[in-house]
Amino acid sequence: MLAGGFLSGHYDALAAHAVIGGVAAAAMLLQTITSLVLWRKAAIPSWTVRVSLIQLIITGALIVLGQQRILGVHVPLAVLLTVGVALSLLHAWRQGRR
Amino acid sequence: MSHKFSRRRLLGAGAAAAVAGSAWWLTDRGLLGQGEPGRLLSSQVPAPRPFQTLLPIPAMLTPTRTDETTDYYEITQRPAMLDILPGLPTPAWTYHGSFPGPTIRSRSGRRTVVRHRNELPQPVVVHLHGGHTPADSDGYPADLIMPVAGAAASPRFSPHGHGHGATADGQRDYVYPMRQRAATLWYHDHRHGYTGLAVWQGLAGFHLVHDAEEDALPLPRGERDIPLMITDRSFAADGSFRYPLTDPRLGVPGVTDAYMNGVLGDTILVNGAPWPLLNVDRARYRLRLLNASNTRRYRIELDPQPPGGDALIQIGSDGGLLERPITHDTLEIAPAERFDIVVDFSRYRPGTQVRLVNHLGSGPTAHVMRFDVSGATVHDDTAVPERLSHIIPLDAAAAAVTRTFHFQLRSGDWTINGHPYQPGRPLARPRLGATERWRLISDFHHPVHVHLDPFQVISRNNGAPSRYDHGWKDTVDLRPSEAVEIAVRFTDYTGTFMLHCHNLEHEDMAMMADFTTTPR
Repeated sequence: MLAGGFLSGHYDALAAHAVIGGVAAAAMLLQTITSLVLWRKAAIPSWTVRVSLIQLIITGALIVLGQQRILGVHVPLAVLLTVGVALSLLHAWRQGRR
Repeated sequence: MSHKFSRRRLLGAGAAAAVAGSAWWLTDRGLLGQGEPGRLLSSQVPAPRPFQTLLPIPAMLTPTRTDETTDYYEITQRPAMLDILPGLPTPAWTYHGSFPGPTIRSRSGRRTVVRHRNELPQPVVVHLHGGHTPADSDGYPADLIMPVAGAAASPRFSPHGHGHGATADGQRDYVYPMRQRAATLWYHDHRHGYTGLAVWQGLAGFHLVHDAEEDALPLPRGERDIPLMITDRSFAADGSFRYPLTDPRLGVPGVTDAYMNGVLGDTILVNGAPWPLLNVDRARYRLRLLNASNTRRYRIELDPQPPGGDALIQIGSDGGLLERPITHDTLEIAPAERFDIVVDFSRYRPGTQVRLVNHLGSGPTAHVMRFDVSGATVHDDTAVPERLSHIIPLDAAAAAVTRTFHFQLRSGDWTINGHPYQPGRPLARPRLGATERWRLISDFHHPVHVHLDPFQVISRNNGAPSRYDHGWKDTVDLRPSEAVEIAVRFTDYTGTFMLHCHNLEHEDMAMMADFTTTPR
């Protein structure tokens, strides 16, 4: 959304996009730590840790790719991450139904 | 169960909050529409009342001497007090004591020599924008004119020449062969790193070129041929021009981070007067519009429109006459662009007050000036012919070379192809006489200016050029995330010239590059 703002010429949207990216990375880090702790307590399966770690690495890479303006990789990777997060969310939602 | 249910509520609430927050953000920040460059810098004095000052017409400079081939002019660049705000003079940097500077009129094919003497406290460089000028008189940003002895009670400055500039002491003769067609040119400062400040301080003026082709047309002339230099400025409490320098001692160029995307003033000046008024006869007028603002774009329109619309008949662009006139209700003008238009005020009833409005502005910047239509009956034998000139299209399909230039913000600098400006490092070496295809690609708004020769816009985003791209251009408005193709052919002069963004804050913060023309 903010990226779209940037693409239509809103200068401040770029800085806000960078802030959101930082927040997302922090959230991914928190998710990874949480999943690690829960996995050690055997409360969740190990694939959740792996997924969290992959999402964290992708988020970090997105920040670097964005700053270096390697947008040909940044944009599709960001779309993949969005799909991945949506699938995680869907899984969490389904878990909630049981 | 209740624990599981609360997880779903949490997820649902989170998603709802994200959607609501996004929607609020988009609308609150106006992110749904197109962004405009720059940040508004507020004046520290009350704004003058609009439509009180009569439109000043810049004085015509007379040659100090002429011979068979050449007209010689002299301009002294000096500080002066300007009368813009009521009762509060504005100290400015001027060409010859006025803002805009005096208008120079040249004949096509007749050489013009302008001797610039620098009595300002800072080094200067003069560029004739739109001039077909040899490299040594083109105003290369490191070719400084140092202040004359005595005037240099100057603070520290960094020449930034790195050995690539030819420095002159006190004065320099700029030689303009004027082997070019009639057009509305302008001259302004072009010093590396300090152009935005110098132009904001008042260093800009018109230089009009006339030729036989244009003289033969029945267009409005004399007092009904009026150059309009549109600028925006802000004022400090002491009446001076306010500008957000990152280093007031001028040791480091550029503006503070907040104004990185450009400085917008809150006061619109036309020919140096705030929201002026022009009394017009019920007749055709030729208005030579120049956006000399550092950053501000304008979408102008006459309000009210005359019955039937099509009030603005465009007859020329940056590089002179169009092939045929184009009628507009609205014109979008990026910094440094010129639109030569004819307005027929006889389409209005006597006594009509016609405002020139700016749809990209808000509050005071939504207005530019006003025309008051007189009741007197006047004779007007002018016309806008169906055919104005002949423009030979450059054959882009036959272009030997295609070059791509990316205009982007990268790690805090405005760059071209990833590089901030470095004098003496040409990004291209075009051959004289060869037509080239240049692809210009933007991130934000970048009005891109190419020195030496005008060009033709051949496409926007692989589609047709916009209705404001016609004719010979020397500055093209790249809108955000846009790809514009131009066909360009350099002629006559070998040497190093410039390609840069004409958002002057972008230019100063390094969105500029050299290109060096090579012999056929």
